[in-house]
Amino acid sequence: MKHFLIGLENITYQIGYKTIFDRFSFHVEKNIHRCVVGPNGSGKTTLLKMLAGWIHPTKGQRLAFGPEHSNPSTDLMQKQIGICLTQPALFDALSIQENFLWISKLAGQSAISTDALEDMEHLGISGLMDRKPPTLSSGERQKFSLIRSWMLSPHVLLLDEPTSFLDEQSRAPLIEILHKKAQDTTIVIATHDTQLMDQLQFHTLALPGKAL
Amino acid sequence: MKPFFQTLWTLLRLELMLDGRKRFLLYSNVLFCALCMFLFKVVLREPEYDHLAGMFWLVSLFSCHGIFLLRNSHAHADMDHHLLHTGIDAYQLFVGKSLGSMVQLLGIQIACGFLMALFFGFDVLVLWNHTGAIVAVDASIAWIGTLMMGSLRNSSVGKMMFSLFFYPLLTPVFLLGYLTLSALSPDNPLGQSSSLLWGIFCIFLAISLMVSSYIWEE
Repeated sequence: MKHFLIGLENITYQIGYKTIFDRFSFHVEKNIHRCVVGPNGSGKTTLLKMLAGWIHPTKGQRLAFGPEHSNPSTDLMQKQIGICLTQPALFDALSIQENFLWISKLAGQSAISTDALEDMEHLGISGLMDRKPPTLSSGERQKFSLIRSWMLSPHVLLLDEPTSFLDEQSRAPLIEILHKKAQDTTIVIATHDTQLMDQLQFHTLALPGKAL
Repeated sequence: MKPFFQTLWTLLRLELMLDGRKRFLLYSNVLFCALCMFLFKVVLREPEYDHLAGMFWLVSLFSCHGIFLLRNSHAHADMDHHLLHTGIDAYQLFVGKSLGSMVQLLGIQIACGFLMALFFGFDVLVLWNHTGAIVAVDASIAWIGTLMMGSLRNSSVGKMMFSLFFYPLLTPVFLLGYLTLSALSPDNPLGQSSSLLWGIFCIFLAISLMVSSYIWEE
C-alpha cells in the first residue's frame, strides 16, 4: 500500500436522508498535491472537513499517517493539518496582530513567525495588522486566513476556494507562495477556479455531481 | 509538548479577552442583575435572608444561561476546530472554556453580591465565607454547560435543546447552592437532603470530566 498522510477508506457520509459520499475512498499522499473539483453540493468542503477531522464519516474509516497508525487520536492528526475554509478563521474581537499572536502562543511560540510576516508583506497586507477583521474587506480577510492556516508549518494544507475573494493583482503572489509551500507541505485545494488549477498544475480529483 | 497548565492559562486568558472585548458581561448580565435586584426590592421590600440566597442563585442561573448561549454558535464551533490545529488537545480546550465560563459566572456573582448589599443591606462577607461552596457549584455549572454547549451547538436545534435541558439538569446543583447560602436548619427537609445533592454534584462533575474529551472531538 502507498504511504499516505491522511486517508478516507470506503466512507459513506450522510446528512439526514442526503448521501454526500457513498463508499468513497481518497488518500492524501505525501507531496502529491491535489485540486478537488466538482459542482456545488458535490461535497468538496465536506471532504476537506472530513480530512481535517472536523466531521466524521457515517460509515467507513479515516486513517492517518500510514496504515500502521490507523485511528490515531484526533490531537495527533490535528497538529499536522492546516485548514482554511471560506469563512475567515479569525476572532472578530481581536486585531489581526493579536489573532496571530494568540495562535502562536497556543502553539508554543513567543512571536509571529517570520515566514508569516513575509507572506503578509508579499500579499500586500502587512500594513493592516492593527485592524480588526470586521473592518477589512473579504479579500483581505481571506489572505490573513490563508496565512493563518499555514503559519504553523503543517504537513498537510487544506484550502477551500482560496481565490474566491481575491482580485487579479493578488493571485500571482498567492500562486508563488503556494508553489513555495508545495515543496515541503502537501496541499489539497477545493476550487472552481480553472485558472488557478492551470497555474498550480496539481493532480485533479473530480467529485461526481449532485449529492445522491 | 507545552506544559498542560501553561496552555490552560493561555486559553483562559484568550477566552476572557474575547468575551471582555464583546462587553457582553457588562451590557447584558450585570444590567440584568441590577434590574432583577431592583424588581425584588420593589416587590419584596425587606426580604428574609433565605430569599436573598434564592435571589442570588436565581439571577446566577439566568445569567450563566446567557453566557453559554453566547458561545453556542457554528462560528464558535469552527474557531474551536481551528484552535485544535495549534496542537492543544480537546481536553485542554474543554477545561479552558469551562474555566472561562466559571470566571465570568463568578464575576456576575460578585456584582450580584454588591447589588444585594446596595438594595438590601446584605453583608457581602457572607459570600466570602462560602467561597469554596460557590466555586464548587460554579465549576459544576461551567463544566455541564460547556459540555452541553459542545454537544448541541452543531445541531440546528441546539439552542432550543440547550434551553430545554440546561435548567432541569442543573436544578439539583442550584438547590445545593441555595442550601449552602441559606440559613436552613439541619432538621429542615431540604437541609437533610444536602448530602444527597452533594452526591449529585460530584456525579455530574465526574461524568462531565470523563466524557468531555470524547464529546469535544466528536
